[in-house]
Amino acid sequence: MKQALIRFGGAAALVLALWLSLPSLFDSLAINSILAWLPMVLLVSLGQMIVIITGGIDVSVGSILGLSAMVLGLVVSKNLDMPIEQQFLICLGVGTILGSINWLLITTAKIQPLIATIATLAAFRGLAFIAGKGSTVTGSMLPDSLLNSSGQGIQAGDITFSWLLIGSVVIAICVSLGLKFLPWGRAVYAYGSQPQGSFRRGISERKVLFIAYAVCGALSGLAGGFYASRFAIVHPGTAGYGLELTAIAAVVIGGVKLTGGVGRVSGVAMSCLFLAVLNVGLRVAGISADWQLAVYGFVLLAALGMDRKRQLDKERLAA
Amino acid sequence: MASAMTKNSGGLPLSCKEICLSFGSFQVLKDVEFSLQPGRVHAITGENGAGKSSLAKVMAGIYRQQSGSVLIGDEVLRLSSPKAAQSHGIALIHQEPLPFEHLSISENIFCGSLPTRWGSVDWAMLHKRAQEVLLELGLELDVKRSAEGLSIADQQLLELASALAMDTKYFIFDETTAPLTPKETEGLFKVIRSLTARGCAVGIVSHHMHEVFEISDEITVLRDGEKAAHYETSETTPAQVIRSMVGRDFDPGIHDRKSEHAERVLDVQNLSGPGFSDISFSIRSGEIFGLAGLVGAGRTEVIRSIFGIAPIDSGEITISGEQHAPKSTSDSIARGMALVPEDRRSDGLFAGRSVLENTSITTVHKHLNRLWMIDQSTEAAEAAEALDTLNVAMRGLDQDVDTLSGGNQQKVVLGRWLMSHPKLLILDEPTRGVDISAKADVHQKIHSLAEQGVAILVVSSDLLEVIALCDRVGVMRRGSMVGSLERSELSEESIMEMAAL
Ligand SMILES: Nc1ncnc2c1ncn2[C@@H]1O[C@H](COP(=O)(O)OP(=O)(O)OP(=O)(O)O)[C@@H](O)[C@H]1O
Ligand SMILES: [Mg+2]
Repeated sequence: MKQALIRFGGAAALVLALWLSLPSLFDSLAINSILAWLPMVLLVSLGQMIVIITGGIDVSVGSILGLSAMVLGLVVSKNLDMPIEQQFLICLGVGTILGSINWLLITTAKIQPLIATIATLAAFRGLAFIAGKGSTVTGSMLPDSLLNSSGQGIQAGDITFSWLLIGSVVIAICVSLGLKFLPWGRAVYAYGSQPQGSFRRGISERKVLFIAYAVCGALSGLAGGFYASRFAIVHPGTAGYGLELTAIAAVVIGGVKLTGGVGRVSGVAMSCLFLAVLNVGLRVAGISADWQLAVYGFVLLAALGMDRKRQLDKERLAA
Repeated sequence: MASAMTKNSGGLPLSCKEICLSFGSFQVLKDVEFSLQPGRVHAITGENGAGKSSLAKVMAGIYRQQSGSVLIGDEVLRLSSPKAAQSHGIALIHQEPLPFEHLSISENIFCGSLPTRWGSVDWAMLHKRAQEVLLELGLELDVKRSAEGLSIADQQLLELASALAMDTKYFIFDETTAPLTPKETEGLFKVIRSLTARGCAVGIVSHHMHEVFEISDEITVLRDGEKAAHYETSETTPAQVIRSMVGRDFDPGIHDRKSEHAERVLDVQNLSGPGFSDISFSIRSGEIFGLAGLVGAGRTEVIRSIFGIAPIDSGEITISGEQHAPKSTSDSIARGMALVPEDRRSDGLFAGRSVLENTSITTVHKHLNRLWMIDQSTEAAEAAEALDTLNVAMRGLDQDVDTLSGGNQQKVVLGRWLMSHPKLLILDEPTRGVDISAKADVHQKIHSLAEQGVAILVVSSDLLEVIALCDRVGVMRRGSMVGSLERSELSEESIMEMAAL
């Protein structure tokens, strides 16, 4: 409780400082771009979080997003009046299949998660090129129903809460409830906390890892649909490129331990918001594009450092 | 879901027939016969590495035997996983418990079979039932707190709690009493007696003869993976059992050390910290000082603070006349201190690494050759010597330390610190799970270190060990020092009287 208050106080102070130093970050334009940035990253980070709670990692999420966006683009370009639900179902399906491939590599072929997903990071990206024969899906090939879902939604004055944002928040709440209240959710934590111990208790490693990697794949796949909707263009090389780093950063800043067993959706959601503000903030502050990436990196380091210090203090007290 | 109180019907025995188990070319069990009869307690004893835990793990579905079968009555069981064993009502309380540190105590107990309502975990019900099971065991723990930082004793009792929470008919306790003091062991035995009265069958692995004779109805002795003997407890004697265990007559030997205490090595004044307050004592070189008390009395906490693992709130520590305010354990090691921790799995062993690396880790920097590389032959020679004096049963120095038997893992941790020639050696439960003859070897070694002038601080729940080793004993209760006893005053009764009251 006290910790939550400190966190909240810290966040409030940060916002205040930002507001004083960078008022333009709070005009509707900036807020809208923050809200537009959020849904895709939130989805991918949620999936990554489940994987990391099991003590694993999935670096192929960006490629899953790219391939799923590519497949969606190719399918809908021939079928422009496909209902929007079906479009997102295609993305979910593609993502689930790709996630299951990761799962097979990790459980059946017994390859370490990092290695297995580095391999699929390359393979899925390659497939995205092959699927579209190297071509790019452009906005004119995409149906309006898809494009509108990122631009339309609930309006509050000048600020738009897009359908995608609302969808991603609903999904975050579902993941949070699932992890807390479904037996498989608890099994994910138990496995991450002590894999051998969970084997002794009859928890199936294969099932737990399937949930983790398939859900991670599914959410990353769905994020592919979000990507196509938001950017109205899908290039096989750039869609979702490098997104795994953003997602892992969001998860770790959100208080999830890389060693497994610990993590909450609320933390990850907050850190996604933080990253969104940071991203837009750097642009609004007029920091040149050359510098943006470096500054971004340093801010991440600082955030991680503070978190690490707090944890160390806590551990020393608990010992 | 049946509660722990259900009466057992059926009442068929669980039996093992001609069990053979090997890892690679190494045969761990050879044609072992064993059975658990409803209403009876069957003890398994044997030296470290004899195969006791392996036999238990076969029955619990963790290891898969190459040949032979496990049966209930006449039905041959297919124990392909722990879950399969659990579904037949077989539960193993492990020698090396693996709690879920990040989960609540309740979840630790019910993990794998959480109570649900309409498919979602019923947290209120979960906590309530966890509370009930703990009550049955007489354990006072907040079920909602996380299992992080529990003592080994509590970790094992949690495993028992989860066995009780499932509908278990066959309980196997693998050295559950090793970290317990006599009083807590008595409590556990009460639970065991109520289990057998209810018609459950109990197997218990222990190195303590007095316990085996107090609780068991029959005894199986394993030696080098074979069944060496089987006795009805009422028809045999401890001496006979020990003889079939070690294959010869056994004489624990009597240590008579001349104690000429010189310099004061450790001086602790009014020390307070997490879990204890106002502790004062001192140890001179060549002296063995014991800290006794019940589990949870704060003994481990005191030594953790002295060694710099936990913070100090107030008070002073002096090492050889110099003030010592440890910021970290390396400060303490630099001053010539060494700690053999209680929880070897989390604090002592480098799992997944070889026996050699585990033994030489603290001294490896002394074996550098001219190129600043590790001189592997002297490293291996010295490690082999240290382990030899402790009789570690292993296939070679390159064996993964994880696959050593529990007692032998403990010996590796001990061997490591014996190699490092400390000035002050702190031992927390040094012989937990170590067999009778190896224990005598370890005691011999500790005495000879003291003779060489090392100051030694021992925490042990095994009162016989405290009596065999210590020149002086401080007794703790609920975080404070309630008295001290000189060597001439030491007896199980005198210590327990102070510790429990
Ligand atoms: N997974 C494994 N891989 C290889 N060897 C193993 C494995 N498990 C056990 N062993 C070996 O089998 C032998 C018997 O081990 P076990 O743990 O059954 O002994 P124990 O009788 O329980 O001894 P202790 O009293 O020390 O607990 C040991 O020599 C050990 O090294
Ligand atoms: Mg054992």
